[in-house]
Amino acid sequence: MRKEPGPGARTPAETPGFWERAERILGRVIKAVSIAAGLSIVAMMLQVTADVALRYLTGTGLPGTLTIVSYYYMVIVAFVPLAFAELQRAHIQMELVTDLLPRRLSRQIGGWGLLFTGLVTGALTVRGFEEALNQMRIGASQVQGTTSIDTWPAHFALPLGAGLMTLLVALRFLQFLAGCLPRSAAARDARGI
Amino acid sequence: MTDIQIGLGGLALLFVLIALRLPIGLVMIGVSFGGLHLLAGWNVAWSSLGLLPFNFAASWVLSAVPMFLLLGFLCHHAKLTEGLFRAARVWLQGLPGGLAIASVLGSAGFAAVSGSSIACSATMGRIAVPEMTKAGYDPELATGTVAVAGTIGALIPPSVIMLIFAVIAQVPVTSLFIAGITAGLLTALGYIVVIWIRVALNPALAPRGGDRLPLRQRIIMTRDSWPIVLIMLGVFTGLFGGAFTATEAGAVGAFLAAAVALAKGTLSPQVFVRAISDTVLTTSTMIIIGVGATVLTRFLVFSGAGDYLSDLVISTTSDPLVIMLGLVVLYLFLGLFLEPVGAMLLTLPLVLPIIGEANFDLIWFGIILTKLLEIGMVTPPVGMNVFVIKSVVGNLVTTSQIFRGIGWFLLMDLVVLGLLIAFPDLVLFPLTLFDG
Repeated sequence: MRKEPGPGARTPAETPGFWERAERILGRVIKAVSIAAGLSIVAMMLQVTADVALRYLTGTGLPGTLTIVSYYYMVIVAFVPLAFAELQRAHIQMELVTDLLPRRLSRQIGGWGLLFTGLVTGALTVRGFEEALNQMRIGASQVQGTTSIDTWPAHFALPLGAGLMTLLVALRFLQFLAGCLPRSAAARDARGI
Repeated sequence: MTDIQIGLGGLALLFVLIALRLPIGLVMIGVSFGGLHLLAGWNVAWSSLGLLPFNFAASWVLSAVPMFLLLGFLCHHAKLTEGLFRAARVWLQGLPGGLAIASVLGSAGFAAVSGSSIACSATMGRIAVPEMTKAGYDPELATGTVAVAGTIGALIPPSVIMLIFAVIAQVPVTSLFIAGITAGLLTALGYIVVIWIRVALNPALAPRGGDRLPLRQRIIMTRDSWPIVLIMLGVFTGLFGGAFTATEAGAVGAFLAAAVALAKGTLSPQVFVRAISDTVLTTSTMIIIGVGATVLTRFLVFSGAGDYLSDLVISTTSDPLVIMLGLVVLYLFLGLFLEPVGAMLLTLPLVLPIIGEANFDLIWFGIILTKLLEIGMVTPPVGMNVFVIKSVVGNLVTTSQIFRGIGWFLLMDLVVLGLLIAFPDLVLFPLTLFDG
């Protein structure tokens, strides 16, 4: 992806610039959507702290905290960033064996591996979406104390995150098939700690 | 093919795909789905994917994971922990190897607010390694010390590994946390002994340096560690006094850390966003593996392969010591290649039935497992703590030099592990204090 399109570049679809642009646009969407997960973390911290503080000051905490933390914040934090993690190449995997293989073979394995990954995330997307519609239809909710909290909207977090990840993996797979997939270890390790 | 053969074939395929660098969690989900499809047909397999991921993630106990991660990342990025090392340093710098000992104690202190060993290594690496090399310490000793000292982060509570173990093995988190204290302190003590011995054998490794500061000044410097001490007190008293659940302790701790960092002026928007982003990524990538482990468990139960393998182990030997040794070898081996949470979640569906058959105490086993997985963080070729130290210290040392610096500490780790296995009461006795 880093190399400039040479003088021999033919159609725009074959130049690295095209793929770079496509991944950049998808990357922006993924990052924007993943902000929801960041906000959930902040909200979780604030709401749980407020709940504890109120419980000590007034004897009763914030109603619904347990349900909202478990059924909303946790689910959003778990599933919405799946694509973001793929974008940052942060998914947990074992590096060793492929690093020992010849580069060409390692590249092939990496490329076809994307197909497998995409099939799994694709299945999670379709199944998750089906289930989310189902939960919406029955109006799934949780009763905590005297209140009932709708939980069905949170079921859309999985198809959202898995769906975006499927798109990203599909894009990278197409790049691989087109012969311009950047797969440097440096990009993978760019995450810091 | 019999059901058991499908199960075993699935397991073999699982390990092949993982070795080919596919994401561990998704491999577990994909292979288990394929296996369930072969065993019971499309409808059973398809419906197994339905509510399972949601039900796994929507967990109050698990919500402590992001909160403790956030606490650790906030302390790290906002540089709240630096005072801790400096405080230990002013008291210890007169001793042989004093700075290295101070970095072990600093890590043990940071461990009390951090759930992961990576944050712990990165923090101490950033502060302690430059100070040690400035004082003329051998770079291998300096970097090796902070890499291993980081592993204390996952042993002394809070601990993300223990939290996830608690969810999967269904044991109380607080008990695991309490039991982890001795293992963590023993590990720290072991490392200090190693530093002592090495410096006694070869004083050139760690030149004595620095004039002893007057007592008044030392007390003033110690006061700089107040942020961590304050957060630590908040987290520990709440957690072990029974006032907080783990999630509450983590959330209140993270809130305190953010407030303290804000007061000290070290919480810039960038720092805050980095801490949040690290938390989100770490949580999400762990939970998808947890989902994978849950689907895998279902596949292993359905195929009978899980029972088959645990019966096989138990019928080969019923000697608990042999079983424990087998597990030690298994996890040390996996630790060479795999990251701890992956290694744990990948194996627990198979290992927990064996633990049940062998009548091991689950709390005790959880601690042994955590110690084993943490040893995997510093063993080559894939040792996450070492990579983190390398990325923090830059060109000062090569990765293989850090691994060499770890050698001596690794021997001590095996001694500590042996003690924890030989004397389960070392791990379990603090529990009796809290029960009474």
